[in-house]
Amino acid sequence: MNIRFFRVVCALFVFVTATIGAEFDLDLYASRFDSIPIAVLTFTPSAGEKLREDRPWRVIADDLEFTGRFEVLRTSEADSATFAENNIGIYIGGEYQVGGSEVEMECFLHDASTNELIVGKKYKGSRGFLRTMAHRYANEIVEMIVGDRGMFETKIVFVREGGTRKNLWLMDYDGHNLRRITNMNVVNIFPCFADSNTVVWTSYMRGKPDLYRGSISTGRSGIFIYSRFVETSPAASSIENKLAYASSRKGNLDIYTCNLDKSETRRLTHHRGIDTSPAWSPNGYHIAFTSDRAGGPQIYVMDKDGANTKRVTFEGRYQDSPSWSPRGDRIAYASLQNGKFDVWTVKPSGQEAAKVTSGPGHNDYPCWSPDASHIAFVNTRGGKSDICMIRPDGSDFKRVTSLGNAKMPDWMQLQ
Amino acid sequence: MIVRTTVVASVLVCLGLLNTGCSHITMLRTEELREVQAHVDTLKMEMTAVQEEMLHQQKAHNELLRLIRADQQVRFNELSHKVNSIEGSLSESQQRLTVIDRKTEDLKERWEEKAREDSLVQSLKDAELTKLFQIAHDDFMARRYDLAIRGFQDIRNQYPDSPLAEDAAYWIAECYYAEGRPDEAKKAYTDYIKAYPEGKKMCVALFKLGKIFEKKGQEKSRRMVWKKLIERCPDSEEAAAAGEQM
Repeated sequence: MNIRFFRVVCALFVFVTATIGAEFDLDLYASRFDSIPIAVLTFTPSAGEKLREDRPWRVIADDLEFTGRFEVLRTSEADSATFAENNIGIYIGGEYQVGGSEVEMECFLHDASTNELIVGKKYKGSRGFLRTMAHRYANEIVEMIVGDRGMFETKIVFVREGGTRKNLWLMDYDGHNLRRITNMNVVNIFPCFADSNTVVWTSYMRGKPDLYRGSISTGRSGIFIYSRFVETSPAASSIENKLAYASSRKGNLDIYTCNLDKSETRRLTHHRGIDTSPAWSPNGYHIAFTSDRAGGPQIYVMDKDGANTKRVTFEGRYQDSPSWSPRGDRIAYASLQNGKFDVWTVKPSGQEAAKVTSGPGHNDYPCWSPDASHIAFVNTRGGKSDICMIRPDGSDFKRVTSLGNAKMPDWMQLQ
Repeated sequence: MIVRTTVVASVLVCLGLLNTGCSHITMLRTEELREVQAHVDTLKMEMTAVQEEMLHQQKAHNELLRLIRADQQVRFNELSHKVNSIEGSLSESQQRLTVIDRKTEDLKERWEEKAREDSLVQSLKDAELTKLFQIAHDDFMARRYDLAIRGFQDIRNQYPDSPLAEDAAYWIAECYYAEGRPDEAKKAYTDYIKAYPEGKKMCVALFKLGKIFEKKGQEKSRRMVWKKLIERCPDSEEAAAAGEQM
């Protein structure tokens, strides 16, 4: 199969040491605040050149702010008066040393009142992975203080349109490290992560839609599910190691599932309407999908064996692209109302539909961040299509790409 | 001369006649006057009698009036007394009514308070039940099946008459099914089908029961259950799926 799927080197750095310092009850500290005050100091070069870009202290501060769980104070030095004024009980400082293409970075978490070290971490590796090192340290801070797994090393795969070609691109969750992962002169759409290393997508390589699969780390890829019919809209469940997709092999598009090794193919829907765009619930037991069985496209939910189908959207005549929150409590979807697509969410029971986006342009193709704190989606303001993010309550809108032709994002979930 | 004599003679004659007639008339007049006087006297006497009679009657009338007034006064006094008495009774009744009103108002307020309390208690119970169900469902969604089963069983035990008891019975079976415990799931789906033969999840339960038989390789049981499913829910998607898979 003549597919070019780029290998992306994922980790060329090593975690070297951890230093445990004074005892500090981080749980108690965190429990005192809705938004945990923490200061992030500008890191200082211990030797070698000064960093002009990819400054890790900024990456760490951005990551912590992204969660919504931290009140981050960015400062250049540890000043006890400033800390006291801002209720800061802990702060992060660090040092780095750049030597050629290598970089060594030490990060320290301190007790702000005593300046005593709580824990220190040291990373060493290629300079190109400085941001990844910072993300990893931020992940560790989140896990230490909040208890949740950090998601700052997750990626977003999306489609970038260029003429008649549509190829898959990958980027860090914050829009950095943008790189193309397919280079085909055909249409490639609907990418999804099967796991943190594997992407499944729909490609018109054979002149019709089939499902392809590629490994990010090895660059290997190939046709995955194919027939003389339409095979499209893949969605993977890491819990069940299963793939749901839409296939027209029985006449019209229905939802099917199979194991990731292609065994145990099951047809789940049997309706005459078009059933497509499946999305797994985080526990792998339910599947949300789009169906026009009631006339126009609406979102439905069924069990993973096809039983118990029920409609969950009722407002508006056109709803599509369901994406299930990693917490399982809401389903995001795109709803066309008054000639404009916007992102909405609804409970899986069909209650409490709520509009999330309202800005100019269409807002479409929603997908959730692994911590459910944000929804990524495509905004088409000014005729340019870019990946944006917003909190589920509609706050904190931010544009992540400025490519003008980005579509169909899928956010890697934590395994 | 003769004429003069005649006139004189006539005058003399007339005078003589006049003198004789007048005497006679005077006598007549006196007689008449006596009769008139007697008549007047009679009339006077009659008038006096009449006046006396009238006076007498006037007195009698006055007496009667006095008696009537006295009687009226007595009756008025009685009436007034009765009115006063009625007024008193009315005022007493009014007072009693006021007391009754106040008591009624108190009772009404207590009833309303009780109703509010009952409603609040019911609402709290409903809210608690909904919350319990939601927690159990959240446990299911988070794959904490043991906790979810315990939660759904608590609902069935504590609120057996609630509509959510039926849902809880179904979800207990779903927990076992999702967890991959076919024997427990089979029993739980069967329990649900028996307990709620008209249940809203009947079709789904029959389908899943067939799926369990399929996994266990019990083809005959699967066909039997799915045949029942197709008979009972011919238009359901589960029946379509079962029909295709049979």
